[in-house]
Amino acid sequence: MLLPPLNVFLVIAALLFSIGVYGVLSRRNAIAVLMGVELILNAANINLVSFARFTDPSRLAGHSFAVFVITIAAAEAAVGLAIIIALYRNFKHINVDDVNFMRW
Amino acid sequence: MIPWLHVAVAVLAGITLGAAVLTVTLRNLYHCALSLALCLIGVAGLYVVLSAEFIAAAQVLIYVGAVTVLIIFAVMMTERITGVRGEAASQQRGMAFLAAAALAACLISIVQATAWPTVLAQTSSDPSSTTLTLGRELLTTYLIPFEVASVVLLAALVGAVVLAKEDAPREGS
Repeated sequence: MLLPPLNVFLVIAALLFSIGVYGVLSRRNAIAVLMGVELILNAANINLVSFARFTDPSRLAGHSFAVFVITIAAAEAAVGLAIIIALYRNFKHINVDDVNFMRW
Repeated sequence: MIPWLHVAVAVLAGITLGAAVLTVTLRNLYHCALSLALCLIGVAGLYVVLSAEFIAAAQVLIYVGAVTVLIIFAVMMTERITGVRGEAASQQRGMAFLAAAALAACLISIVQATAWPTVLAQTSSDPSSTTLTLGRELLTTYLIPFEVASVVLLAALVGAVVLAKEDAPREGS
């Protein structure tokens, strides 16, 4: 069973990354921005796992990094959503364009 | 003979990218969260194709199981109270699309121009071996990052509770 070459996986990850960047840039709702960030993190993980598959199957450094990325992403989602809920409690909206009271 | 892995990768990539596009374009945030879950399941399928079974299982458990549910809870908590649907898209959609398309073109051209190592692409690996190797690596080479990650998770847990909880009532009440 032949795997597709590494390029294919990297292109998929690049497209997923760009879609995530589009989501982060175009959305105004903070939760939707956070979903874009999740897409970006997943694109990075696809890259890590495919490099691990195609280079060094005895060490699997890419898999370990993917585990850590998933861990940190879970922490990021929890803290990010907590911040969004605190924001909602104070402002009654979560529109990132209007939350600039800390801008210097 | 049909190259089944190629077909699988094409189908999974279609599911993943299609669901990702829906995630960033749909206006209803519930639907966005559900298509995010579908996209994450597609990514888990790609991990299986890449013989990373443990990562695929962790992806389904953590991302699809926990993060998506968390996002749906946040959507419910921030939309229900006022009943106002958050307007999802912004005015800068055209600029964002241009920036993302330029980024994609740049990344893809770099990927295609680089000579990647293809040495081990042909070897088919033992299904149980990657999980075994990963476990051994995590508890030997990456032991300190592994422990630090647990501290980070604890700090994030406490921080999320502190940030999201109601302000304490004033003294005497």
